[in-house]
Amino acid sequence: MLGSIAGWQERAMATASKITELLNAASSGDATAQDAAYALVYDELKRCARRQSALAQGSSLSPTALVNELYLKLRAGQVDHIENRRHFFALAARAMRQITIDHARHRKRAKRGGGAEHIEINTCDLGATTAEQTLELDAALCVLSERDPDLGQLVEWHFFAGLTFQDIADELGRHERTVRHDWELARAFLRQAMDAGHAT
Amino acid sequence: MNDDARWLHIKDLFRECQLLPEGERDVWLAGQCADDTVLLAELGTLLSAQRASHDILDDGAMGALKRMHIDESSPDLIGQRIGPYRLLRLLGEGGMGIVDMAEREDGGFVQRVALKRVRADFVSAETRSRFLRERNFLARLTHPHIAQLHDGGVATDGTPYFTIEYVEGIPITRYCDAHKLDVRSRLRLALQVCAAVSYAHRNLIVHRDLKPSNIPVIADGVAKLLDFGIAKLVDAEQGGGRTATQARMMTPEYAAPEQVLGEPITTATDVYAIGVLLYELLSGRLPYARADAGAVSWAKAVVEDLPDSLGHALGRTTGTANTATAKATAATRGVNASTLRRSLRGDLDRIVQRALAKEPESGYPSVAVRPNEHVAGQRDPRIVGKSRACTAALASRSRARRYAGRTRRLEDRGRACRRRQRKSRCPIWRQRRQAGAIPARASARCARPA
Repeated sequence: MLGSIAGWQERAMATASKITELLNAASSGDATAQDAAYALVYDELKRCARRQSALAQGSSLSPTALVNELYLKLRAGQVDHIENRRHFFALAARAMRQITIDHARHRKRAKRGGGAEHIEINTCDLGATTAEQTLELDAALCVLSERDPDLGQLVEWHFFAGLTFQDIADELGRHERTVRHDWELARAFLRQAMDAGHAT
Repeated sequence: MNDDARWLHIKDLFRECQLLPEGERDVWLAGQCADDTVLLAELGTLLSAQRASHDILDDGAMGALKRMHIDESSPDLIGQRIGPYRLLRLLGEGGMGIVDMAEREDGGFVQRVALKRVRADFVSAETRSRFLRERNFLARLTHPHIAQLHDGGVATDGTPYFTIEYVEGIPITRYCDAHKLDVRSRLRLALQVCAAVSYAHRNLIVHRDLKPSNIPVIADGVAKLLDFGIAKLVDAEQGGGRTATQARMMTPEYAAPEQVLGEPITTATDVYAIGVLLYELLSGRLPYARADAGAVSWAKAVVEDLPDSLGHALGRTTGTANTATAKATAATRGVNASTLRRSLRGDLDRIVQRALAKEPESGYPSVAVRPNEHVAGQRDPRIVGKSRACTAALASRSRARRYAGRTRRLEDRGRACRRRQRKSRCPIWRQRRQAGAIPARASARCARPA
């Protein structure tokens, strides 16, 4: 349970200022601060996701809303520094990627365990298919990042953190159209890599 | 050429291909790749992968999370029975509730309903009370424009459910565009929504999640308000009609500044959402130019920017998939761009701007109170200016009818003279004219052909 609303808000603010502090330390080269910031961002996003899915009945979940909510909290704690903001997006994207992958793994395990006897040939199991695809995507993204780290980052920001092309273009000081074209290439690459995975 | 250089080369060629019409790409590429068939093949694969149909990559991570979640937690009960109802198909699924189409056979008469139940894995005490609260809210509401509660019960496994009127419609914005409704008909639909929301407010219920997908319009042009899942009771004793700040949940495009900032939510929050809806219905755009620039900018715009005027927004070409020009938008409203611009000018613009005011007026417990105050002459909406309370004008049917009437008059130029006479007899108009609120030529404007 969230406890009292006031208590929850206080805690959220405390978390936000803690993340801000850690981001500041990380940008001056403190590696442990970076890990700690990541852990906090991860926890916070997961909490946001859980809360949204538990409460926001009927309303659509969007990663942007999650990342944005966290970002607004951080803004209240003065993370307006461009460097810190970029850092935050990177952390948030990584955290969202991890949350998605964890969920896919969990989903797959659950299917293989208790639920196996329920699988029928005619039933299209959307959840299991999605879990499978998510894991394939993750693997393909690793290949892409190795080949081209910039495109890898773009996929993390756009697909996982839900940042729009314009958000990303603004952050990187590039033209929106360039970002869009890069995304087209990244997506084509990932699709092709996922297909190749199927073929082998 | 090493791997890195080769990749850069592929990247360049791919980018340049994007600038070419699709039909010319193959020939151009063949020329560029000369006799490097491997390179040509690689680019060919990428380009065909780009054209491949919709997949997981187009939905974003949250789409994937949601899909994994959905069928993990909603056991397939289609075809089974809950109480006297037989489940037919899944209609929708939210964080904690599932809505199925269901039917009940009763003495040869088949009644079709929407059946809402809690998710089996989420039945915490809080979920249960939330769910029951929605049921209680609906039980208090009987209105032609709110989906009616029919029945409630508890399934054999102990999960509570209720059934409501099955509404087979499409979201209000899509309905208007699909039927090419003119401004006047759009306003008429918006009035139905206002009536429903105003009625809910009079029953001390704030909806908090007004958006097109929660307002379907059925075939005969009747709007129905759905989903009181996150609605709240206005607590009249505590904090002057404000509800406590809850964990933030919102649909970004329709969220009011106080929702973005996590401040207390009042009935004015619904008024703001109606403002966004009206803005969209009229201009086909969202209120802020920054909207297209992503959610972070959006949240900032909601808090900081003043909405564009409707006419100005019309000139904004939307950057999204369905690129709409002013001309196209006007065409879906059955007029040309300049006529549309003219009919959006003035009162409609002012109403929308007021509905979208940043500061919710704190002195009013609900929209329902406001029209009365105006009637009593205690407040002149023009004087109160920027406060959102003025949107009483929107909630008050009589006034809004006048706006609908004004638009009709614009379209209906033939009887200009009689109209002018009628107008000059109208005491409100005369009063405003004397106060200088209406320029002298405005009276002639109605009569002027486009």
